[in-house]
Parts: sequence; structure tokens; C-alpha cells
Amino acid sequence: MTLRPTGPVGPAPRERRGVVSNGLFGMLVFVLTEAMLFAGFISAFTIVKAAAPVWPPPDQPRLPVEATAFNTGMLVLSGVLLIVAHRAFHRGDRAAMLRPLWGALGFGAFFVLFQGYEWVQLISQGLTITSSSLGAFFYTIVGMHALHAVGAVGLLGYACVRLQRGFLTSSLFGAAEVLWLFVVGVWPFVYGVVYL
Amino acid sequence: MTAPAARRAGLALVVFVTTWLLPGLAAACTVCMGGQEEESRKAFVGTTAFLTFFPLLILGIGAGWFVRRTLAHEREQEEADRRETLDALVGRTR
Repeated sequence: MTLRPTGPVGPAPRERRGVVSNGLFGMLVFVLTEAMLFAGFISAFTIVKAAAPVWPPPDQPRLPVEATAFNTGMLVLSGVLLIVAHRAFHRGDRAAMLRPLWGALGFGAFFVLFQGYEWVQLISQGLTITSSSLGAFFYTIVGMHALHAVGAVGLLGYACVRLQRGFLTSSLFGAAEVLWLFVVGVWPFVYGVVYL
Repeated sequence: MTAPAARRAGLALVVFVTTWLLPGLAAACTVCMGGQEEESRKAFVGTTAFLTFFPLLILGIGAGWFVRRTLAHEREQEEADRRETLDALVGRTR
């Protein structure tokens, strides 16, 4: 038996876009789970810090609060530039988003390199992952953030290259944007809890 | 049973009986560091509240964003459908 259409046959229905692109949705789910990972780390650190008779441990080097505050500013600036790029993208103005997107990538890469330099300094001063509970938590929490930052810089770089070549999709840009804004958004909390 | 083994078994028995009868001495809570009870208690209460409400908050924000995006998307689709229908009607009358 064959089925025949009962009504008037019109043009084929228009293809409908999804509410959220696959890349953006996948990244949102990933970011939500990672937010809980950081929440767990920060909670554990808060409890250990509160229970310690003296904090920070007296025989350990102090964390570079001022230098990291400057680096935090660079990261926030990178996030602002990404939002500027986002607005240009949604206006359909690809030329106008090129500079802010490269700027966001540049400041983001600067943040990662500066963190690496800071780690080298701290390790040379004796703060290692086994030297104290401060060192263990510092390298675990900040290292986990750095891992995300490196991944997000890579994704932003890929998005920049795709934009330059003229075929940046909203799915890729959305995913890169959400990951980078997560990296930017979680850092002030990490800084506030671990450094201050 | 050899003498050292008997001594170890006796010691284990003493420890077991002591901790059974006087659990306060055992400080059995694995996360208690001692010395900072009030600070620790506050940290436990604070982080428990944080870990309870934080996922609800982010899921709420996510759900709110998704609902707003779905409504906006439906409006866009309806507008596109209306435009398509109008175009088709205009094309037929020509």
C-alpha cells in the first residue's frame, strides 16, 4: 500500500534551524560540569584553609597577589573584547569582529604565558605540589584553570583562523566563546579564594 | 601464635576496645583537623550551602536562557513563515 498526500501539494518545507547549535549546546553542558568541578575544588580548599591553625603555611613563599591582579585585568579585558566580537558577529559584520577576536586571543595567550612564568618563579622559590597543602591546592586548582585556558586559547585561535579564511560558523564561534567566557568568569573566584 | 604476633593482636584489641568505649578520643572524623573548630564548622556550613545551591542556580540560569532563546527562535520562525507565505501569494497573483 502506498501513502498519497491528501492535501494540495506545495513547495517542500523550509529547513528549520535548531534553537541552539550542536557545538554551543555541547560546550554548555561541558562548562556546567566543569563549573561543578571548580565548585568542589574551591569548597575543599576553603575547608582546609579554615581548619589550618596558620594560613598560609609559614615556611612557604607568598603568592604574587599584585602581579596576578594585573594578569586578571588582562584576562577580563580579553573577555570584554570577545563580547565586542560577539556583537559584531550577530550584526553579521565579520570585518568588524576580526580585530576584537584577535585581541581577545592575544590577551588570553598573554594570561596563560604570564601564569606559566609565575609558576616557574614559585617552583624556584620552593612552592611545589608536595611542599604543603597550599602548594597542592594551588597547583591543582590553578593548574586545572590553566588547562582550560590553554584549550580555550587553542579553540579561539582556530576560530580566528576560520574567520580570516571567511568560513567561521556560529556553532564553532559559540563553542569557543562559551569556553573562553567560562575561563574568564571562573578566574576571579579562583583568584579571590586562592590568592587573597 | 608467636610472641610478637600475640603482642600485636593484644594491642589491636586494646585499641579496638578503647575506641569502642571512648569514641571521642579516636577523633574519628576524617576531615576534622582540630584546633579551629568554629572556623571549620563555618566553612563546612558555607561550602555545603554553596554546593547545594550553586548547581540549582546554574541550572536555573541555563533553563531561563534556553526558554528565552526558544521563544525568540519561535518568533523568528513564525516571521520567516509569514514572509514565505506572503511571497508565495504575491508570486501567484502575478
